[in-house]
Amino acid sequence: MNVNILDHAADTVTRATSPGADTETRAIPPGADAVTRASSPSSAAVTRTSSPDADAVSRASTSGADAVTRASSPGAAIAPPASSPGAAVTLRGVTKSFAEHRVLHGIDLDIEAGTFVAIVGRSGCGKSTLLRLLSGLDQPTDGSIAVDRHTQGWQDIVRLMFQEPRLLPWQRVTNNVEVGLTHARDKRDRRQQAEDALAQVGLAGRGHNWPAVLSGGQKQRVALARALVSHPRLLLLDEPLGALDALTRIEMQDLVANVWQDKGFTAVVVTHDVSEAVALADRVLVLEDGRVAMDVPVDLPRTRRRGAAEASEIEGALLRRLLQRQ
Amino acid sequence: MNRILPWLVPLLVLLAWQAGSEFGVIQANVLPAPSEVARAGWHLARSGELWTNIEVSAARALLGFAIGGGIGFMLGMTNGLSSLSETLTDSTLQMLRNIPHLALIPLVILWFGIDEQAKIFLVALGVFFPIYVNTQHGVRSVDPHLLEMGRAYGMSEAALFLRVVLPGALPSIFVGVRYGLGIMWLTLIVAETISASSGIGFMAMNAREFMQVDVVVFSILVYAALGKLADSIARLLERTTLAWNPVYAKA
Repeated sequence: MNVNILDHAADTVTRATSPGADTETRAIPPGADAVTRASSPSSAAVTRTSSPDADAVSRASTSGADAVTRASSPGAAIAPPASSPGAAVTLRGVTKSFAEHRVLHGIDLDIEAGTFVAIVGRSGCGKSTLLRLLSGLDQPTDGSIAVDRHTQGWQDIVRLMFQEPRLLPWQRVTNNVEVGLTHARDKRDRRQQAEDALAQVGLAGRGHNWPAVLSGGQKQRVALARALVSHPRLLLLDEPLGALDALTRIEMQDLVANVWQDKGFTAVVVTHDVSEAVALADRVLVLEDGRVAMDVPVDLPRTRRRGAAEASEIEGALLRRLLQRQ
Repeated sequence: MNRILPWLVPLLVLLAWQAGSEFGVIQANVLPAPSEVARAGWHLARSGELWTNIEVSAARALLGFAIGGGIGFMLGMTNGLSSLSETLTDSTLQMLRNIPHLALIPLVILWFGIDEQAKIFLVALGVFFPIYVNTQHGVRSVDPHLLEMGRAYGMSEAALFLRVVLPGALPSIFVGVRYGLGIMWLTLIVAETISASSGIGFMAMNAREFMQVDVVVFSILVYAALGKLADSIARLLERTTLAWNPVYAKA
């Protein structure tokens, strides 16, 4: 594997190498965490993976503009269920071929539990194929995938969010969200969970609507609620924001980031948008010709400000790599 | 206003017809006046003859529709879902489809005589094809993205069918149903006119023997009314089951 580590990312190595240190920081009381973060963004690398409660505290003190988008996503108010931390993902020599054409060339990859990983790459680099393998929709030609050390039967804890909302047009919004709960038997319980999930994505009270009357962004919110309702431990996102307009997109990025911080699942997003990758992820992988060509940690404070200098620096490096071979 | 407008043209035609008869432009033995036709209808209704004949015709129509439509629906579903079944049966069915089913009348009379089975068979055969073709097309045109989503979200095959395939195919199936209803009446009229001892078609043919032109015209109007009724019911079903679709939602 060809791994490039950027200069400025050197200070974040601690995170990758010593998970023990990471867990320690979780013990820091919420208030203290918020203070550290506000005063010294450079130290954020250490405190980044703080507890959800701490995040809620620091979030409450952010600027007014941020609070507007938050208001529509009361996710932070709902306590995460105790049993849903993220799942760790391990890929060993994963290869995928379609007929003669080899799309993925023996990928080895470890994704830590609870991290947010972005995969970027040019069209046809195999990033969507990789995601489909993780979702269990396709089987690898060779190699193994383990989610939480299970090499089989992990489909139930994984949810995939597609580029299009893919809502059933003949079912009302709540029923569409209930699709995510195929295994839940009790009808009233299902309804309640679906409504909670809708509230979390800021669509409380829209459950009785037909999908046809919703805007593109709202439909994608419903799709997010459907993916979240079963409390997945691994959430896969296949360019879910690609079809949205720029402002809706930023709103959705914030929503996804907030829900992720709140719930603590592992997230893998495939995107062609480098700035989106840097805005969302802890770690950005560049996929090139079916191989991981670059593995870049992004240790910037949450919540991230768009257009921050450090972010642009990482974006620039990623773009240089992506455009190099044209 | 929109409720009245569709009836404006038929009303004008009726008035012109009545006026034509009154002033002798239209001969009574060619086309009796609407008032005469109405009177004939009134007599038939009072004697109960009309109702028994409508009952007989409707029973034939519905039974034939249920048999032909049922088989068409099931084969359409099977061939839409399984390519093996399609390869096996579809080209045969397409060959049969191109035979006008009314051309089989002589053969059907030889097989079944002029009994009930003959008419029901013809209706079923006529209704089968539009429902088969449209059901198959409906299943085929279900968005594969939705099927993939269903699989990714762990739907069982049964759930996938009930929640994704069937509702997705429904708009197309309704096109087949409405088309089939038209063929149902057409077939029944022809079959009853050629060989029957009861039913609206028989009523018309019987009246012809006695030169009762008014009864003949009335029978034709009854067919028109029954056809319109069936279509309205199908439309109502369409509008209630496809309420999710902005195309069918109330304008």
